[in-house]
Amino acid sequence: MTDLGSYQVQSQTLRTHAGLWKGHAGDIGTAETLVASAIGKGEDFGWLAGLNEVEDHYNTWTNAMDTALKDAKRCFLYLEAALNSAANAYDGVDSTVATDVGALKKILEGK
Amino acid sequence: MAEVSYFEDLCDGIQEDMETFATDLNNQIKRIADMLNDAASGIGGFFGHLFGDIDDAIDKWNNEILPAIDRMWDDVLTNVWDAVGDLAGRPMSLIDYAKAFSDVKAKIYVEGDLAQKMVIFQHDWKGYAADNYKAVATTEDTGLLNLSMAMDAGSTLTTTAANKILTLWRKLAKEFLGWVGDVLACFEKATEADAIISFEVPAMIEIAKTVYGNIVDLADILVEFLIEQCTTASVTWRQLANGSRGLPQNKWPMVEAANADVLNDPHNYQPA
Repeated sequence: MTDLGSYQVQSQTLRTHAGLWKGHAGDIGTAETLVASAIGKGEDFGWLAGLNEVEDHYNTWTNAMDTALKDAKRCFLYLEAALNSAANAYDGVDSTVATDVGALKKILEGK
Repeated sequence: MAEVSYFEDLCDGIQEDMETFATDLNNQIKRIADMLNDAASGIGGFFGHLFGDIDDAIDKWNNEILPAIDRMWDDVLTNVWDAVGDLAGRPMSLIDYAKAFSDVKAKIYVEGDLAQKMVIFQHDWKGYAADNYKAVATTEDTGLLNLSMAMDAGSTLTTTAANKILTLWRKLAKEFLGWVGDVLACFEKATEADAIISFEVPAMIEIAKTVYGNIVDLADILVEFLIEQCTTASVTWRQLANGSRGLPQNKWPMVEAANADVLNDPHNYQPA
């Protein structure tokens, strides 16, 4: 993509924010691992909990959180990539190139 | 009974206590049978026979009390295990899950982190992309806050349930021998033929029923607690499940396509 000139000080701010979202994506990855064994385990509350909706509510909630974590990670990886891409375009350095728009969209779509 | 942490511990402990109960009950049966035999064959038996008390006592023991003890034992055995089965669960796993939710809460959100970085960002960048980024970043950051609050609530609810189950199990384990002790106490009073004649089988059956009735009462306490956790507690499973607590609708706020289109294009970023 186009090199928009050299704004290395400002582009560093974009990279700082890209790093922020990269960190969040990493934290969400850790969170996914932490809760993996807890997802959909409402039966562990016992038979009476099954009769009294706790099991269903727990499973509904944990499954929703599992999906939310995956979605969050996609959003954060996308923001990281989009901000780095913009930073690359403003760096004015040949070795850094803005990422293709299609590639950025794919991150958000989880493809 | 050793410390109860797993349902298997509870079952093993109750099994052990039931075996103790069976041994004690058999000892009482043997003692009473010996007492009646001694009375029938000894001097006391002579006078007893004279008044017919020993024969009546032996008849009542053989025809009424012993069969009732058999029925009572079967009844206790079946109903105790049914009632204990209702209390099944895996509270130690729940405690692990609660810890995981709590760890996630601590991991994912740092208050003020984004706000401070946005000050620098807005100093360096302006325009359409900067405005979009600010809106998106704030939304995503709020998502993290809401998710961390949901994890906190889930952790609290899960821990509370685990502790409730463990508390009830430990109460059952601690008190079970006392409950069966009340059944044995019925027989301890039978030290002579007169006591057998006046022995009240229905009273024994009622006392035996309280053994498993007490376990059913513990299950009722658990049911009441579970219903409260779903409906009327300050934070409920229902609120978490329907997304009225924590993350709205339990959905992550995705970066909107229109905002993404702006952020994707480096031309939309203007150095300040």
